[in-house]
Amino acid sequence: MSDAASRVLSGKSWEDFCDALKAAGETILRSETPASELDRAEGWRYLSRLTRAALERMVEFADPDFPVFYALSHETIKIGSDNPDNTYRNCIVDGTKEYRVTGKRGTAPVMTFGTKAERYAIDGTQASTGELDSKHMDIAPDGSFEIIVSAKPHNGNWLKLAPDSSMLIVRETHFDRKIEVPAEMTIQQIGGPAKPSPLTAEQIDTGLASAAAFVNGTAKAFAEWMAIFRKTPNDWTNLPQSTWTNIGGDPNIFYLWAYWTLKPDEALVIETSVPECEYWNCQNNNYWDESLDYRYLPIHINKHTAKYNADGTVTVVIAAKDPGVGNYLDTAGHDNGCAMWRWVKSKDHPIPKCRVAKLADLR
Amino acid sequence: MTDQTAADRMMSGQAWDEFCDALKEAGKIVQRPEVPNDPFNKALGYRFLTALLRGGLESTMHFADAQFPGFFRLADETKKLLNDNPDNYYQNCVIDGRFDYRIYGHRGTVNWFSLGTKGSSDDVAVMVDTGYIDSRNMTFNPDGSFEIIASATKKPGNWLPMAPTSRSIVVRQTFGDRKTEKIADIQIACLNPQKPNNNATPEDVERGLKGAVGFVRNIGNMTIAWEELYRKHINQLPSDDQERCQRAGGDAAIHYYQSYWKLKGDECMFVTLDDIPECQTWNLQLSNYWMESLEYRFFKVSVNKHTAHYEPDGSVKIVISERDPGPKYPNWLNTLGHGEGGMLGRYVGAKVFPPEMKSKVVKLSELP
Repeated sequence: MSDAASRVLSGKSWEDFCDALKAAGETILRSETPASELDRAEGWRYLSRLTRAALERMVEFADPDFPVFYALSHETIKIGSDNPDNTYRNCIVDGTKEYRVTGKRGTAPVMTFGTKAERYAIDGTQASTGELDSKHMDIAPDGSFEIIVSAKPHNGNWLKLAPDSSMLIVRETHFDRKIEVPAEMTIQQIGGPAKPSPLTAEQIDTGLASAAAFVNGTAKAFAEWMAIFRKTPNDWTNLPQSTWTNIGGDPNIFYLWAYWTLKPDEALVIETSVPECEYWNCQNNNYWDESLDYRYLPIHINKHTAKYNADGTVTVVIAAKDPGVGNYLDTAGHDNGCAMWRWVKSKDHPIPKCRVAKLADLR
Repeated sequence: MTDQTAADRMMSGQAWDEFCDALKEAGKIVQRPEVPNDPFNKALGYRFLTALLRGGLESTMHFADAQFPGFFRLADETKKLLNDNPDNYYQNCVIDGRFDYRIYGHRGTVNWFSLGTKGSSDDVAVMVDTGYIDSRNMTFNPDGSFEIIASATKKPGNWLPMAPTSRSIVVRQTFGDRKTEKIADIQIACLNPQKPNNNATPEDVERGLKGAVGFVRNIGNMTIAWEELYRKHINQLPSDDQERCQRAGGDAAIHYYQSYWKLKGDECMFVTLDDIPECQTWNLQLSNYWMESLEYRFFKVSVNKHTAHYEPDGSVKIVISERDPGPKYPNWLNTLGHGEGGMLGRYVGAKVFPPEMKSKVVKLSELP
């Protein structure tokens, strides 16, 4: 009997999974993390959400012969400043195989596809191995489209794979997600087996171990970024953009992060000129870098929804209460957190100016 | 020393530690002596626990705020439990009967759908019906859009009754043909929330984590207990104890025939339905030991009123087996290498109920 089979038979795989989840809790208790009840409660909820995400990715949607789109971030699983304007889709791929994506374009203004290779063990990166923008795709008049995903170049809509590619990401960016409809799409391997094989002990043994590692690794990675951001509170931490593309960021996006800490009567006022760009947005997150609850609260604005000043500049105000000036982002009861700014396909990348003001002085 | 509060346990990390320890303990369910002792069924068992964990966290933590509700799926293509119906698209929502809700959306083309409100009780295995509405007795706008008010007091228009004790909504969208029909799009909003946001409190975290493990443990143990009952009539499909099915959240419109199958490679279970009552639909599905419906995305593991091949006399012959019985038996349900597991027959919206779905075990080579 294989080692995996005996670990599954004895229950060791499960016990190790539970122990590893427990150990991942240390990230929430790191000395620099905020010790308020709200931040901590959200920290544990974050781990529980990551657990769901990890099990979906590593156990349920882990067969590259039968990939199925799922979403690693959405309204109740939030990772790394997930964009409230985005509909995300993820799926597993094997760079040595070929796939066909078929779908029907929705009404989101931006739709991009990317393939990624996990090269953490080689050079610590999650490398982009292929990018495709719907603007450069052939899409039929009725909105239907097909994309071939392969290492070998292909006529028509082609999304490139490297032999070590393991993930496909679809990002649809909405200007107003309440009225826009996301695309529909499915993926199938070309020339793969007709039917998936039954679950094996090896798959569940590896899946559980990988899931626990994902929870631990993801929580730790963003906690470490936050430990850096909080060294320059209430201002952007302007790191080289390669920092973000190396860990899976979209190469079309210029990212800025700012840790903020505010008293109830204070506001973080952000002012900037707006360059020519496809899209920009600013969103508010909690300490764990989860977007705040955009279903119910005003926690982000974008190019389309923002109110502009008379001179074309934009003012964003992050505060516990709406002072009635600029574009208000709610702190949702938090006294600290982190904001993100994105310039997408932008000519220039101005760094918005930040200042802390008394709410009373803004009214 | 003062009593520890939920806040203390949450701040110190004790609540998370206890959650992980309890989860580990719940893993012993897979080691119970009733469970088939082979790597395949044990691997399925642990995967089952992960699916229950995901569903549990959604219902007790991530969609648990009744004033900021949302539909989630306790059972879906990768979360399966208690013989989930391959012909159903299930949705769940945590609500509180003391508030009012607006449920709105678009009809879609699914055969029919129903919404039921359920009251909780101390026994997690028991759910109480507190209200019901379905697409056959609802009013739709010409464009297919609709609105339902869910409340404890009667409302004009489409009204989903609740009791003050109602705690959840179960939606069942039932397909004739899952591959071609489009589900109804259903959204919900609370009309009278009493708080400004849905920020998590220490109590929410503790209740959520405990609730999620409780769900894993209770459904896991209940599954084994039920399979023990069904193992008393292996390869037969007698009418089940309907009251038990309803207490566990069953649909009042459904009459259940729940059982257990166990077959050798050269055997099949031959089911003859020659007394199908007049009904909205019927179906028969296969599940694994853990009462998870078998993989219906890729294989034919169930048959229903719409997909069945009928004999000239109106009867239906179904063959359950590992190997394809050939073109003479188009209603073949594939056991997918499982050897044994749960199964469930349903008559939906019928008025009379045969005492069983007739079946016998024969060698594949001896099929009539």
